[in-house]
Amino acid sequence: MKDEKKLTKGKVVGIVANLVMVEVDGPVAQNEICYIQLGSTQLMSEVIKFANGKAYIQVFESTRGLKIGTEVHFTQAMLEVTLGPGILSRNYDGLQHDLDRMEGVFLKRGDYTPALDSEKIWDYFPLANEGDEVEAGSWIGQVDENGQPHKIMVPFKLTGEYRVKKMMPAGQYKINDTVAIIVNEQGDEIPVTMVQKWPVKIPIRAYREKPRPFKLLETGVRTIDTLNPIVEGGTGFIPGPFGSGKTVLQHAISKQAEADIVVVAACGERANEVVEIFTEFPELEDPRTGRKLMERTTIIANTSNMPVAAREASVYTAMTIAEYYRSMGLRVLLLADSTSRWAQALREMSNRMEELPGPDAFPMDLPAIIAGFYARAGYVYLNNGKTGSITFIGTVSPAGGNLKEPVTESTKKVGRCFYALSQQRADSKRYPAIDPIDSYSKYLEYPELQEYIVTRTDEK
Amino acid sequence: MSLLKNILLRGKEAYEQMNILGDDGIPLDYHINYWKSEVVDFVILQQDAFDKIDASTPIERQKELVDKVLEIYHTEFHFESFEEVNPYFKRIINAFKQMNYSHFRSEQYKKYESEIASIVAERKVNNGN
Repeated sequence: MKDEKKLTKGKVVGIVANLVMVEVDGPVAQNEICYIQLGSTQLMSEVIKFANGKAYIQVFESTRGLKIGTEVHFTQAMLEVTLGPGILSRNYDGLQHDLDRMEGVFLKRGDYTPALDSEKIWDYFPLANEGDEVEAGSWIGQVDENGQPHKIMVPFKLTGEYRVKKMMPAGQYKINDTVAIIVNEQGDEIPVTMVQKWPVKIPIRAYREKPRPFKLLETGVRTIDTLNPIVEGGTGFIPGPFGSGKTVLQHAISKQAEADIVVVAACGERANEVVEIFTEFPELEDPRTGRKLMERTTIIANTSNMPVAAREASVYTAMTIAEYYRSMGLRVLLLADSTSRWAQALREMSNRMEELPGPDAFPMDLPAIIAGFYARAGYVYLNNGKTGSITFIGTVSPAGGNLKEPVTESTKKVGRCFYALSQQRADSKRYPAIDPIDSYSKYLEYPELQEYIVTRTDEK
Repeated sequence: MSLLKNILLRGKEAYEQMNILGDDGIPLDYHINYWKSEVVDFVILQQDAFDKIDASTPIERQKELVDKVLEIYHTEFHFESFEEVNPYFKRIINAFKQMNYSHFRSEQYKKYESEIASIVAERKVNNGN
């Protein structure tokens, strides 16, 4: 397989901040991950362009002290997240390194920690039987993760049909233990463990159908539910000036909304705000179960003082984790704060690569990137007929309160719900500061939703 | 839902007129429209995030609340002068707010429910009777 081939190596020939040019001795792929050997530390980087015989790589770390001639090792893999039991209640950085397991107060360059605990023992029981036909995303087993049914699935990377050859009995396993063996049509045996990897930039498509979302998502916030409802699997965005209550509102939604899993991407916000999330979230009580909200929450944090390139990756990492839980038939709520900082990270890299700038110097394909990202949310019918959803709510911090700037404009095209926070309402101490007249929900136009609301209120 | 937005929009218009012409310079109806929109704002839109009950409202409760507020909106009130409008609606808002703090359909909830009904009856115009 791949591993037997000689891995490509390279040498640094140019450095522009965190954009590094590398001369390579073999093939490299777009978005391939490579490591720069700087002394005893390895700096993780990603190939983003290849031109004139040189690979342009963005380094997910500071490049201070990096010299021309430094060696680079390519891995033949794209940026991937590790998916398996144990993701919930963790705090990750943008590249899914466990922040709690890092040492010291400050993040060290090149300090990478594993995403999952490989020693933890899980109570596993099988869901499939020997002889069953399975495909990528089929549920073959289950473990209990903080009260949520965590399904063990056939790896998403596999294509085609498989048959279960051997199922391990219910019992206690570690994540890297083989829980099943499946065979393809050629008779090749593939062992399945509880963990799998998936490249973050590619959507997980282990579902049959993605209809227009129609189920009302109850948030308990009256100005949202009554006036501008959001639906399960819907997308919404909250542009807001500083201090208008974006964060408080997001907390309220994450606490009360009818979701099984909450994924928070704290992207490019100030470090003290993220620390606030880290300290406040574990305190919040889940009103429905009485347990801690943090037990069903994962936080992906990339603060404004962390490297820029990892910030771009952080929202994709969060989305991929959300997609993973959606494939288990769970309702996921994904909150991103703020998508403007993410767009700024894109702009920074685009400028360094000397691309032709678009409006406000954002990359020309910004609307397409934002649309592609929002399109990954949604309500799906899985291959086994069950349903799952990702409801995505992003905040936007428009520079100078200008709602005509490119990020807000492009988001407006794709986000179906718009919650305008008004400074005036915030100043007059009216919480939530959502402006009832400027805000809108395009889901109100869907006849499916109208029907659903009628049946739901009749039931009760 | 569009009706609620309409009420809020009319209220905002009335408020702007009031700012331009002064509160004695606009018809009495504008005052009433403004305060009816304030009822929607204070009772439905605003929530107390520090109160366990008020912070999260289940959908059935929201529906009942909207129906009650709309009932206020559709009621015709009688006032002698605009000065009576403000304190009267403030009483209604206060009763509603207390109701929002109470457990759904509890004794207390019903108490405020009847209080609202009696306040409304004070100034309700009975057409055709």
